[in-house]
Amino acid sequence: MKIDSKTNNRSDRALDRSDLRRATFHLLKDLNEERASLISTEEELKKEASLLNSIAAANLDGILVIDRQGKVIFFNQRFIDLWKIPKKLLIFKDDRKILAYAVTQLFKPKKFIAKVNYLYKHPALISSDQLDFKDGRIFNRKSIPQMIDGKVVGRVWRFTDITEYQNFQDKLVYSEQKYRRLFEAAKDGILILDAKTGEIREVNPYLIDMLGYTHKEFLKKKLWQIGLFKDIIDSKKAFEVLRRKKYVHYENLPLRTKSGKAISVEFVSNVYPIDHVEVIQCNIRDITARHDAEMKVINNEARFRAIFENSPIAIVLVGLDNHFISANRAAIKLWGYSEAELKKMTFADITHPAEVKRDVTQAKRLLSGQIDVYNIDKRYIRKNKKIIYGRINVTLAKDSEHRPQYFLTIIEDITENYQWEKMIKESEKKYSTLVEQSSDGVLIIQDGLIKFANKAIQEMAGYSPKEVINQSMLKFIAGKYKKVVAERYGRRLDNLPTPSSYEFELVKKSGQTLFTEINSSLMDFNGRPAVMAIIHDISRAKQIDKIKSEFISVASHQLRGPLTGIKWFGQLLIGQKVGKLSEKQVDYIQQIYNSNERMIRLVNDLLSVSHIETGQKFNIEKKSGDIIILIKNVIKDQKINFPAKNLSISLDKSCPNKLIFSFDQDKIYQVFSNLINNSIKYSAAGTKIIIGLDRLVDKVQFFVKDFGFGIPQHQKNRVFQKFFRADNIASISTDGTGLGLYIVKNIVEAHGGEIWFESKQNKGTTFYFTLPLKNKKVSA
Amino acid sequence: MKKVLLIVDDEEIVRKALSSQFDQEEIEVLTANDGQEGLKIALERHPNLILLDLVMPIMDGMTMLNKLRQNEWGKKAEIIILTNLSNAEKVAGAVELGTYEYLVKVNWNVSDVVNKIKDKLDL
Repeated sequence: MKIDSKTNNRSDRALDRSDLRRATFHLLKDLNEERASLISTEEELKKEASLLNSIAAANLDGILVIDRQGKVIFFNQRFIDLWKIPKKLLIFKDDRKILAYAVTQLFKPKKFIAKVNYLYKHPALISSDQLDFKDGRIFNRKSIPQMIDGKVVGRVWRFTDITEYQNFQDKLVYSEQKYRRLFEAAKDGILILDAKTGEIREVNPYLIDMLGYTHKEFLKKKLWQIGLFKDIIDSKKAFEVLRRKKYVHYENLPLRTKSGKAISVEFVSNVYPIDHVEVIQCNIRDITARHDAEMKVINNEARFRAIFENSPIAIVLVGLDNHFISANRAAIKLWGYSEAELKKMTFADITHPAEVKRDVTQAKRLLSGQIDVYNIDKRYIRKNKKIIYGRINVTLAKDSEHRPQYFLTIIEDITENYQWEKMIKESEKKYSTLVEQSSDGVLIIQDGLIKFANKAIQEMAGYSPKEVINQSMLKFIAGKYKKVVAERYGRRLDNLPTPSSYEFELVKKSGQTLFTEINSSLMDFNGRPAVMAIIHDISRAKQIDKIKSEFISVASHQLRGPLTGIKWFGQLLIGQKVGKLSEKQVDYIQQIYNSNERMIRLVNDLLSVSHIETGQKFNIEKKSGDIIILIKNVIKDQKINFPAKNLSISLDKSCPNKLIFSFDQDKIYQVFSNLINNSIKYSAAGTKIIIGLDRLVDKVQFFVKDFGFGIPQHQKNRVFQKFFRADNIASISTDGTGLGLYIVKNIVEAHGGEIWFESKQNKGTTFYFTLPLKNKKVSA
Repeated sequence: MKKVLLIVDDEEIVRKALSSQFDQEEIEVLTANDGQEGLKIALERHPNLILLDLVMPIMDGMTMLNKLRQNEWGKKAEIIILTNLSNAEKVAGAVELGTYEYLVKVNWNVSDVVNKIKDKLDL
C-alpha cells in the first residue's frame, strides 16, 4: 500500500488523524481500484459505491469529487456544512455556481480560482494549500487526481477546517516568540538546566553578564562545573534539591562571579517539561545592591533604634489613627505610662483637655500636607495626674512613595523651665510692683543718662519720671558732689572697688538741695551694663542727727559745768589749799576726784563721738608746739590718776628733748592720754610702759608700748570700733567706755596720719600712729 | 598798781574756785554772771585780763566779745576764753577775733589755770 509521504507539511506530520484519513482514502482508492478490477457485476459496484458513500459521509473532512470535465460527481454533507452551500445550488449540480458561491467567502478568491484552473490544466498534480476565509476560518485544501488504470478520470478535493488548529499553532508560535524575547531581554538571569543530567541548556545574556562567564563556558556544562554554588559537593547537592523540589526559592543566596566577586542573589527555580523533557528553570536576581541597601536599612534601623531608645529626650511614634505605636524610655519616664499602656492610648488621652482640640487640628494639617512640622509648648497629664509642660516637635514620616506612615514626635520636658519662667515672671511682677511702690527713689543709669526712674522721684525731687529720662544724672547732683559721684559711677561700671553707699545732695526741681543716701549696684539693662541706684531721703535723718548732736553738745556742755566744779574744788582740797587734811580725808576726796575724772572722760568721749557721727569731726587746730612737753604732761597727769598701779611710764631713750611741729594740742593730748590710759589699764602691776617716736621723712611715728595682757587674736579687727572692749579685759576692769580708740583713730586720721597696732596675748601691745610734719591741709 | 582780773562766767562754782586762788593784795578779782554785766564792768574798770565763758544767759560770751572789740579800749583788751564747749566752730570765731587763747575748763587743772592767769598778769 502506497502511502503518500512526499508532502512534508508540518501540519500533516503532526496530526495522526489526517494520516489515518489519507490512509483510509488511499486504501479505499486502492481498494476501489483493486476491487474494480475484480468486480464484474454492477451490483458489486453499487455495493462498493455505497460503502464509499458511508465512509465519505462519516468523514470529518469535506470531500468533493469532480470529473475531468469539471462536473461535480460527489460531495459529502461535511462539504456542504463547511462551505455553507445553500440547498438550491446543490440541486442544480452546477459546479460553476457552487464555485462562484464558494469563492465569495475567501480572502483571495482569484488565487483560489487560479489554482483550480491550474490544476485542471495539470490533472495529474497533487496539491495542498491553505484557504483563508473572510470570517477568519482557515481550511486546508488537498487535491488529488482520481486515477483509473493510470488515467486521470477526475479529481478529489478534500477540505479540512484547521481554524482552531491554526490559532493554536499561532498562539504557540507567538508564545514561543514572547518567551524568547523575555529570555533574551530579561533583567534577571535565567538558567535552564536539564533536570536529568544537570546540563545547562540555556543561559540568558543577563546571567552571562552577571556571573562573568561566557556563553560557551555555560552551555553543556553541568551546574556544579561552573562553581555556581560554593563548591562541587554543594552544587551537586543543590542540584538534587532543585530537581526534587519542583519549586525552590532562596531569598538570599551568596554566589561568586567568575572573578571571585561575592554577590547576593534571589534564586527561584521551577521544574517543568519542554518538549517532553523536564527542565529546571532558574531565575536569578542580583540583589547585591538591594541586599546592601537592605543591610544599610537594617543598620540604619538599628542605629535609629539605638538613638530612639537611648535618647534622653522623649520620642514617640504615633500612628495615623493617633494611637501610640512606639515610645522610647524617656517618653515612658516622662508620662509614667508603660509602652503597652501607651499603645492602647491616643495622644489626646495624655494631653491637657484644653489643648486637645488644637493638637488634633494640627495633626490633621500635617496629614493634609498643609504644614510640614508642628512646634508648640503644651501641657500633658501624667499617669499620676500631675501636669507637666513639654516642648514638642511633630513631623510626618513618609515612605518612599510619599505616603504618610506615622507621626514622629519629640518631646522636651520644660516643666522646670516653665516653673522657673513662671517664677521669674512672678518675681519680675513683684519686683516692678516693689519698685513702683517704693518710697525710695529707684533709678537705672546707663551711659551717664537716667534710663528709668520710679514714682518716688516725684516726691523726692519734684520731677516726674518722664522729666528725668535720658537726662544726664549729673544735672541733678549738687555741685560739690558731682565729681565724686561721677567717679564712683565710673568705678562701679568697671567693677572696681567703690563704696556701695554714700551720701550726697541732690538738686530738686525747686532748686533746693536734699540730703540723700545712695545705694548703688551693677546690673544688666537691655543687655548692657548699667547702674541701679536707690536714693534714700536722709534729710530728716540728717535733721535728727543735727538735733541729736546739738542735744549732746548742749547736754555735754551742761554736764561739764558741774564736773569742772568738782574737779577744781577737789584739786584745791587735795592740794590742801584751804587747810590741812588727814590722810584719810585726802584719800576720800581723791576717790571723789577720781570718780569725777572718769565722768569727765566719759562726757568728753561722748562729745567727741557725737562730733564724729555728725560729720562735724574735728576741726583740727594745728598750732606749733613741742610734742615732748605734751607727752610729759600726759604722763604726769596719768601718774596722778593711777598711782596705785606701780607702773613705770617713761619716754624712750631715743626721744629727742624737743620736737616742735604743728598739731592740735588738745586733740593729740587726748590721743596720748587714751593710749597710755589703755596701757595702764591693761598691764599688770610692776610692768613698764614706754612711749617713743621715730622721725621719718615727712612724718613722725609715735609708739606706746606696754607689756600687758595684749589683745586676743580673734578680736583684733574690732579694736577701733565704737564701744569695743576686748574679752580679756572686761572681767578685769569695768572702767572704760570703749570709745577711746574710736576717738583716737578719728583724731589721728583727721590729722592726716595713720594708726595701727601690734599685739600678742599676755605679751603686750604696741600702738603706732603717725602725724604729718608738714602743715598739710586736712579734709574733715 | 593792783592787777584787775574779771571773771565772766554764769557758774558760781567756777567763779568761786578761781577767785579764791588769788592773793587779794596782788589781784583784785571782779566777777560777772553774764555777758551784759561783764561788758559793763569791763568798760568801767578796764581789767588787765578777762576770763570769758561763752555760754551765758542774757548775753553770751561771743556777743560780749564782739561788743567789746568795738570799744577803743576793748579792742586791745586781753581775753582768755574759758569754756566747756569743744565745738570748734563756735570757738574758732572767738580766736579770729584775736583772743589769746581758749581753754576747756573741764580738761584743765585749777592750778594750771591759776598759773596761766598769773603768767598773763606778769605775776
